[in-house]
Amino acid sequence: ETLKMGLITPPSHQWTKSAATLADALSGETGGRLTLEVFPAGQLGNEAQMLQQLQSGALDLAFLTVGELTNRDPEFGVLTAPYLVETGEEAARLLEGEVAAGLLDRLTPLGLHGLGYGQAGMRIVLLSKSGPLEEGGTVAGRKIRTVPLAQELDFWRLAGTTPTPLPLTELYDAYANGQIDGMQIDYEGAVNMGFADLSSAVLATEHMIFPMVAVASARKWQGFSEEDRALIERLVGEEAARIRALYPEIDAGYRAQLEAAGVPVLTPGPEVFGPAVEEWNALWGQKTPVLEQLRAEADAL
Amino acid sequence: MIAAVAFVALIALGVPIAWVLVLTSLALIAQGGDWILLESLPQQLFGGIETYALLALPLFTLLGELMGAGGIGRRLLALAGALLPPLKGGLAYVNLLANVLMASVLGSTTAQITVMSRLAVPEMERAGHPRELSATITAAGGLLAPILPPSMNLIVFAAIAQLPVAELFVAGVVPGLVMAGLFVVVIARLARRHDLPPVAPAPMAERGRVIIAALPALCVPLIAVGSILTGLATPTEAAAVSACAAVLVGMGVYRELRLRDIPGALLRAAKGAGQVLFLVACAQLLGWVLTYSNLPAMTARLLQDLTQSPLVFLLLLNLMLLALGMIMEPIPAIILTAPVLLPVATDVYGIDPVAFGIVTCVNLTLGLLTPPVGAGLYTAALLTGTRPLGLARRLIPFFLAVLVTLLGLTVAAANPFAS
Amino acid sequence: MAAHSRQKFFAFALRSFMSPLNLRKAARRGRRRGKTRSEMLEHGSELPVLARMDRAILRLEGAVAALLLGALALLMLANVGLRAFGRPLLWGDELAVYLMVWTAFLGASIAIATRMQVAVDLLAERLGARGRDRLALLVDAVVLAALLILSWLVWRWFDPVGLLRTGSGAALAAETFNFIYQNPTLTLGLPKTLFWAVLPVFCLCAAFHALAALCDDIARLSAGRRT
Ligand code: NA
Ligand code: NA
Repeated sequence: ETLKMGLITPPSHQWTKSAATLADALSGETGGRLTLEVFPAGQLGNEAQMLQQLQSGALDLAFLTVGELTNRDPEFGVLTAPYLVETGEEAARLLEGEVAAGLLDRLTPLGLHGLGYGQAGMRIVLLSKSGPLEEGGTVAGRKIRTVPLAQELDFWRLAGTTPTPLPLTELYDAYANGQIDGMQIDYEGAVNMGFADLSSAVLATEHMIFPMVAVASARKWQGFSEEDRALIERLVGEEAARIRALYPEIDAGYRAQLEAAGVPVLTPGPEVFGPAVEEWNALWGQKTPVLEQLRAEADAL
Repeated sequence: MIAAVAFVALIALGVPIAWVLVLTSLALIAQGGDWILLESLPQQLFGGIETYALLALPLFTLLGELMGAGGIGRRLLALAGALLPPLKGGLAYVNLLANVLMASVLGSTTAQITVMSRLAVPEMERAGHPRELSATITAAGGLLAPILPPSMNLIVFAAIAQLPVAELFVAGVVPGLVMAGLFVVVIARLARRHDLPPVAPAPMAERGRVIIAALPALCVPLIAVGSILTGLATPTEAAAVSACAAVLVGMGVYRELRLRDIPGALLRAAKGAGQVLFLVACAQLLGWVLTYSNLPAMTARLLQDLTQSPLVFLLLLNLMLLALGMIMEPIPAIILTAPVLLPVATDVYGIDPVAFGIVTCVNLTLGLLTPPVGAGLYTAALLTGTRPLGLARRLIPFFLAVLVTLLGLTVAAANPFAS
Repeated sequence: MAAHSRQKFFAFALRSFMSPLNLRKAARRGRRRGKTRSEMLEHGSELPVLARMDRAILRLEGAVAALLLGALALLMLANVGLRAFGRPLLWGDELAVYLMVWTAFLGASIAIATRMQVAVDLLAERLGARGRDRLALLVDAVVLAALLILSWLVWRWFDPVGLLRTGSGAALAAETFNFIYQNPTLTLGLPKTLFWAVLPVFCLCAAFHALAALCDDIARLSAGRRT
């Protein structure tokens, strides 16, 4: 049987490489009885479309960003709370914890079966050349490009900025022409897409983790034998763990590239977001009690 | 195989292209036995055009309608005529020059074709150029949009290849200008063969009057460019901004546009753009079914088995992409092929990813004008009232110009010293 | 309306609707006076109910499509203005895309009704008038068949019967793995089904147009045979 797996990441991205490794391992361990075709870079559609295909069972597996899931169940938004952890290593351990594991159960009503977490780079902020950051200043008053998800919009609004969602195809021109004067991204994207060259500064805030959720179609999962389920759980789990472990290194590598390229890399504290961190926690603490549990777990790391 | 035969037979019968694509998708699903895809088919048909990048199509169509109805297009062309030496087929060169200028602001072929079809073609016809020829030059000029920066196609490729957008934009300049230069040669030949009329020389005073009369009209494109460069609007939104300017100038200054003309302009734009968009949705559906059958990855493996020479690989790639471009839109075709072909090109053949991106984009852009599925071709035909196949036939010299450019790019890309 | 006249009206409506005879008569009438279908469309009084309804739907579609496109342009304009003042419409782009998709499907249906669909007409060019009429019948039958298949798939996807039986979108999803009523939009806070609804609307209107075109073809063929 041939399984299909979808991702939105480009071929050179670690998630895609891990998917390819997973495909080799799966056919290797089953002697070719199960094979896996990997569709990277959104070949089968964006995440909303892939999720619908997982629900119908047209697609078997996927690495989803937490974004599309948050849109369907706000509880997933707690994973992207500001300043949950200090390092990528801590982020990896937090994603192995109880609260994160408990969230996977919430995938069932979405027609998905959760297989574990990976992550991408910690979120940072780029500021355009139109307005460099003053000594001790905040990001308030800027137009920041963000994805239109409730938790991120709340955060940037509370920081006194104008969160401005823009489609990816318009982002480069918009940043170059000054339609936005900042964006939330990771080191990897800043280097690879050339956004750093258009920036006055990189704010290495690393204020948010960026979880990936490895999922299977619940409809297809029903049809797998016990052994196959166990095998897929194990192999996907191994790859997800590898991604979690690798990202601190990957982040450090791209950060070094940014520094070598001569873009000023600043490391302001949470105060650069003004009152946003505290107020976001108060707001989302009311929305979901899971946030408090997750934060307690993070503080204990 | 059944699907391929069905595709050709249905097209030959004269079944509307959109439905050929839907029926071929169904045949492919039946052939592969992937019945589960049927459950996602309606939402994929919807999802195929659920993208921001396509908004340029209806908005620029509307802009073209409003500029035509308000007398703005006529005055802009008259302005160009007044400034031009009495060259044979002068308006054809004006058309091309306007396309080069628009291409340096816009990134979408269909956006350019929709505006120019309504603006330039009626004026060229009035000046004595055959309509079909005028539409042909307009359609060809649109090819420059995604090659001269900025370019949506190159941005999508950059995201897949993880390359800086700026590098790809820079790499698009030379091929874009070469293409424009070759188009000049083609137009010069056409002007001679069809004995196109020169712009009639006018007395100085008359010229002055024309120039002054065109100044308000000139505001409309200037507002579009200005709103993009000042960061007020995205290129897509600029269409809406300048459509608003076109209404104000057409109603307030020239008094050629009346309030009761606007519903008609909206209806014509909605009909034209809607039909082309539906075609794109159906082509996207077929692309999705083809992806599910893992055709792109199989093609990548096949190419790799066939040759070890980068040049042969690129030539075969070009053939394959030209065939794909016949039935698919550039952006979906890039998303379909680049993720599987780019790693092969760079890792196996040592081809520079930027060069690969330019070759891919130029090649697939051509597909916008090739039958049986070409959004640019059909937009030009629908908006100018010409026949798509007639246009396609007349476009052949322009296609050859693009192929020459493509061949140059291919040789350069295969040769590591060139890049 | 009195019972008797109501009955007469329904009988008339049914007859005119079901029987292509009326259409044939109208087409013959039109042809005798040297009229094409589109000319006949302008003088609606001569047309049977099917064709008149066809034309009414067409007019409605045109009005809605024009309105949606106007709304789309105004929305983009508003977003530019509001962003300049630091209050961008967070849901603006998403709504704009849905307005475009609606316009696209309505435009596609209009294209069927006005026989403006893009096709390769090389074969038709090589045929005589009669052959062309036969080919038109075949092509229109293929379009109608494709539309019926699409309608069937859309029906299965929306599964109104299943929704009534299970009582809610969530229950339908839990029982049948059909999540159609469970899909949100990203920024609008509305169920996605509201926008997907263009598909059943399109299938209904387009199938009606395709059927009317088919009847028109039959009428033309049989009128041709009599003369
Ligand atoms: Na361009
Ligand atoms: Na084409």
